Amino acid sequence: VGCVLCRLSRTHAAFDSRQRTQPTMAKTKQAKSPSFYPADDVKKPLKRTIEHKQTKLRASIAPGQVLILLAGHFKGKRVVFIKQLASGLLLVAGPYGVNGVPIKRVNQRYVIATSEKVDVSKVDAKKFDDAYFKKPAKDRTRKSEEEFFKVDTSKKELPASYIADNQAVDAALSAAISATPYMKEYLSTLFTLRSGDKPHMMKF
Amino acid sequence: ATTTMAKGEPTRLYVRGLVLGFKRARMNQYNHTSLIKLEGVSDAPSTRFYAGKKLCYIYKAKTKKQGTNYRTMWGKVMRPHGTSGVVRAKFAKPLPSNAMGAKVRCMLYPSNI
Repeated sequence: VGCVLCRLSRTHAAFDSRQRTQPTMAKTKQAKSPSFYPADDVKKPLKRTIEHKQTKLRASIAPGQVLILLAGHFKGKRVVFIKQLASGLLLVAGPYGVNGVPIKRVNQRYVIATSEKVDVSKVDAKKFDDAYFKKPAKDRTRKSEEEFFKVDTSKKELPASYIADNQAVDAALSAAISATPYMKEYLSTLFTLRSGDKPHMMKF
Repeated sequence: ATTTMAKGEPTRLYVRGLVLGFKRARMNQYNHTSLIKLEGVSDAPSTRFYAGKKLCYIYKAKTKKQGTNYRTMWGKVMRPHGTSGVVRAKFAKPLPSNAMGAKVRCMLYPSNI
């Protein structure tokens, strides 16, 4: 019997405290009171306060460094590092005239930094940012049946501004590359592992 | 597709490896972890460079998927195994048993140099 009583008193106390915490509804009577109150407290999701920092640039990578691309269409190519973009990706150029690599973004982890450097002070990289490389959003509107099955056979033309940008970077880097003997040949040559090569003992 | 040099020689951007088998004791075998022997690596301190590097097991199948008969299973180097340069690896799905003795490619990425 005593048990039942204490249980009752406990529930009454809980009920009491709940009454005390309910109050904000009663106080804001000026606003139109909602016609629906949820039976249980509705949890509000916490605000996301995560701010991603720019990926830390490896000590071996500095502007002008020659990097070896390890993956992708241009794997094995030696390219010149220009600057790190806000997203953390590296802005890199062949340059295009030397080894066919246009200005592109590359992840640090897919790159080996060599000890060779090229002077990139003449390159104007202000216009290159992540928005420049962002692909246009796909058209996700509902298509009619003909449009859905249509095969686009027209040849995709490179925008003239893109070609001009690449030529500008090429021109800015050409003097610096011809300054160092064999740098042009070095950038044109692909990196490869040969029999007996041990990457863990190689000095790049 | 492999990039080619002027002479038509394909470039290799991976270290060759052999699948030795699975992690095992005398009577029990743990298929979730494979043992890989990497070429040119003969002691445990050398394997530090390869920790975390992606591994690719390439095999052929009869039907064409995505335009090719070659298929891949990706995994990564986890830690050294023993003192002689053998390495433990975990693949997304455990390697098939016919992969024992087969070649595996240890890519040079994710790179830390």
